[in-house]
Amino acid sequence: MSEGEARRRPDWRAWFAPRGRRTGMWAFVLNRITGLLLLAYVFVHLAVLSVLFQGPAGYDRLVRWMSSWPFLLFDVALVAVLLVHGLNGVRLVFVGLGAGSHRQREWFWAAMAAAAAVFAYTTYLILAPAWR
Amino acid sequence: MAEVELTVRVLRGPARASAAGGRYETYTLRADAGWSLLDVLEALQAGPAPDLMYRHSCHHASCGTCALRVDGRERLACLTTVGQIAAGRLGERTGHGKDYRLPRGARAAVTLEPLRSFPVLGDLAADFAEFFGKLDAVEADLVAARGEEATHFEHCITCGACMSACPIVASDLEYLGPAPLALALRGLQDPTKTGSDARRLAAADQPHGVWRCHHVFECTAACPAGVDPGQALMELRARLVRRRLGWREGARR
Amino acid sequence: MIGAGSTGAAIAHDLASRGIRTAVVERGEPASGTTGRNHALLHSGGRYVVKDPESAVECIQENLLLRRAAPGVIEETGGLFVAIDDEDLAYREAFLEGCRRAGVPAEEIPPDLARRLEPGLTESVRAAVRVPDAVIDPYRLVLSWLATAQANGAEVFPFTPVEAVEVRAGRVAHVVAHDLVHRRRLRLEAPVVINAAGPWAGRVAALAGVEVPVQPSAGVMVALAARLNQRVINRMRPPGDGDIIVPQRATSIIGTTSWNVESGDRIPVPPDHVRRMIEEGAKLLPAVREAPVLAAFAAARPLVAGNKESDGRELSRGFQVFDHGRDGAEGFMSVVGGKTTTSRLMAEIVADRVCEKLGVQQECRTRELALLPFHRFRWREGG
Ligand SMILES: Cc1cc2nc3c(=O)[nH]c(=O)nc-3n(C[C@H](O)[C@H](O)[C@H](O)COP(=O)(O)OP(=O)(O)OC[C@H]3O[C@@H](n4cnc5c(N)ncnc54)[C@H](O)[C@@H]3O)c2cc1C
Ligand code: SF4
Ligand code: FES
Repeated sequence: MSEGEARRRPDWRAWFAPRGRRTGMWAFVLNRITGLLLLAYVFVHLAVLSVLFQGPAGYDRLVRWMSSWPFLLFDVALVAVLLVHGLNGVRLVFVGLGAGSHRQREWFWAAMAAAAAVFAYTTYLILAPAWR
Repeated sequence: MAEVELTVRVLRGPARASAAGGRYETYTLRADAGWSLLDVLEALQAGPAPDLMYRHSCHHASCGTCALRVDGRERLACLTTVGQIAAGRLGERTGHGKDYRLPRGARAAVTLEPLRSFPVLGDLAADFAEFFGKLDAVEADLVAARGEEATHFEHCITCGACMSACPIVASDLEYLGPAPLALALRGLQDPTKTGSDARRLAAADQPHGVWRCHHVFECTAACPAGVDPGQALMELRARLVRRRLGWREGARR
Repeated sequence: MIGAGSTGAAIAHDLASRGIRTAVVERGEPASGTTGRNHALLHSGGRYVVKDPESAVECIQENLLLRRAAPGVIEETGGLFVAIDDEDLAYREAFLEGCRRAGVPAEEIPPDLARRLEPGLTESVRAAVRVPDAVIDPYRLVLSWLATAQANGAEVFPFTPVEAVEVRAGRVAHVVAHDLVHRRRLRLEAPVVINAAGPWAGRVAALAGVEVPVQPSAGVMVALAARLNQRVINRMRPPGDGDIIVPQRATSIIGTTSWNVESGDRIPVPPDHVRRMIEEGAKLLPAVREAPVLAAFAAARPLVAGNKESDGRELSRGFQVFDHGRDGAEGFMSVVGGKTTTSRLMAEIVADRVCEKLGVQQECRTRELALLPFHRFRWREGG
């Protein structure tokens, strides 16, 4: 056999293969996915803001969009993604400093619980005015 | 001991660059609940699969040759028993010395695959050459604290389970990976200072060293020896940060 | 070389270090036979001083050499022989005298000091003697030997079972082996072929049409999920069942038993043997009873059956070399028995024989040579 055949190749599928894996992997996968969603959001955000180039009429349209139901729901989802990514990020900062890395699983669930609480509150803040 | 009708799916195939690309063969056999997976594999070798390739040596979790993926999870074959599989208790470190109270005529099915991110010598046998090269890079010594009255073998048995569990090892071929980095730290802590600390630190402090880790902690979850390589990686990072900032290391170098 | 257990690996290292072109074929992973599964004790010789003093002398000499050659695969724990009843105590005198004669450094210590050193010991310790036992990592020792042999030009083929040994006109001609890694048949021509197949040596010998009367004798060991002792603990009495507890990594391993089996394959682990090990072990370290079992396993000693013993081929008490030239297969040799502890010595004796056959004049250097670390071993070329 030639040497070449024995060389393995980078396998990126492993980043999204949670079979047989545990909490740490789910946290990792979640962070990749939310990270990619946030990246996508930045572009959507810029695209939406670009209507401002149309002057005052554009501004009015934007405000109308932004208070429409689909947009509000989008905002709610955005908050969820931000919270998951951000709070998990805080967990990683601490864990990465060597603080409580053997408790990383508990930290993950704590971060997610915090995310859920803040999410519930912000959802209320976003949707309550539209309800009325 | 209770007998179990065991269906084993084995990912087989010739030498190749990674576990992918083999084909699954299914065998059914009657197995004693007290058998380890090594007994199962030996029974297959004696019967329907005479050329079956798998690695084993010590049969008691000390040599680190027998790690493979059991239903997707890294396990030592020597510690995984048929009873444990039938009882669905793969989360337990060992199935030996336990009575799982299986019903008569119990059946179970299991899928065996070679470790991920290792080239394969054939069937379930992973080629550890690349992994051993990484151990070499950190001058891994498995005997700690030589010269004291009682020395200890390092608990890491270089089984490769952590390497297989880590998604970063899969995507970055040069990443040293959990076990080599944990052993680098172990070497730095060895009070008798065998091996070159400078070489260990240089190996750890590079893009494919500790900085490549993304805190997945599957290494620690997969380790059958309780080594906690994830924690070791974080400690090594803290050490390197202190060194870069010029902080003193206390009594140690 | 056929077989990469401690015997085959040590011989390959010796031959390669003398500059002799060597190939090793092993049917599975290196040390996947008896060697990897043994009790992991680097004998001080203490166990043999009364019944088999020559073995004891070999053990202590090789023990010291191996510590120097391969420190990375040896845990220098030291060992204790302890007497816990009157019968044991009656053995003490003969034991100490035997150690003195064999040159096994033995230091008697008061029982309470023994219990301070090993707090897990039973309260009924009556006498205790310190000896230089140690703990081996047999798998990595074999890899170190093979890695060093590879560095000296030897070729090692794991996963390559030997299928035929061709004998032509009274001489061994070549060996055919199935290289499972490269999925090919290997034909290795060599003037000397050495059968070091342990409990399978009889089967390999049969491939060449000669006979080696091996009677595999199995032993059960129980590894606990706790390290209850820091030193090797031996019962001070004639060798028997369950009288040694070896600490290795995070485990304590109790062993062993002894019964005849058909072959080295599919050795059962009888539950009553496991219970016996725990009972016997608990007499020395009471905590054995409560400690969870990590694994129970068995290996087979390649014992040589009686009828061939008297033909003068015995070169050392612990093991035997059969030169099959007399059986019509010149160049074919079988090496059976011994211990992992004394493998280097066995290898020296066998390699001397090989050199003689090949007409090569090269002194043995394995007494001084340090071994490479285990992680230099490679399973295939270019790997
Ligand atoms: C229970 C027990 C406990 C022991 N404890 C100790 C101890 O504590 N300390 C100590 O020093 N000694 C101990 N020993 C003794 C020691 O383990 C053995 O003497 C030694 O391992 C024998 O080594 P070997 O290389 O001759 O045989 P093995 O290790 O069995 O090697 C033979 C090799 O040949 C291979 N093989 C077989 N057939 C073929 C084929 N057709 N083609 C290619 N390869 C083949 C096998 O796969 C195997 O790897 C113990 C033995 C037993 C049984
Ligand atoms: S750290 Fe644990 S999982 Fe990784 S090689 Fe060592 S023993 Fe195996
Ligand atoms: S066979 Fe040694 S670790 Fe399983």
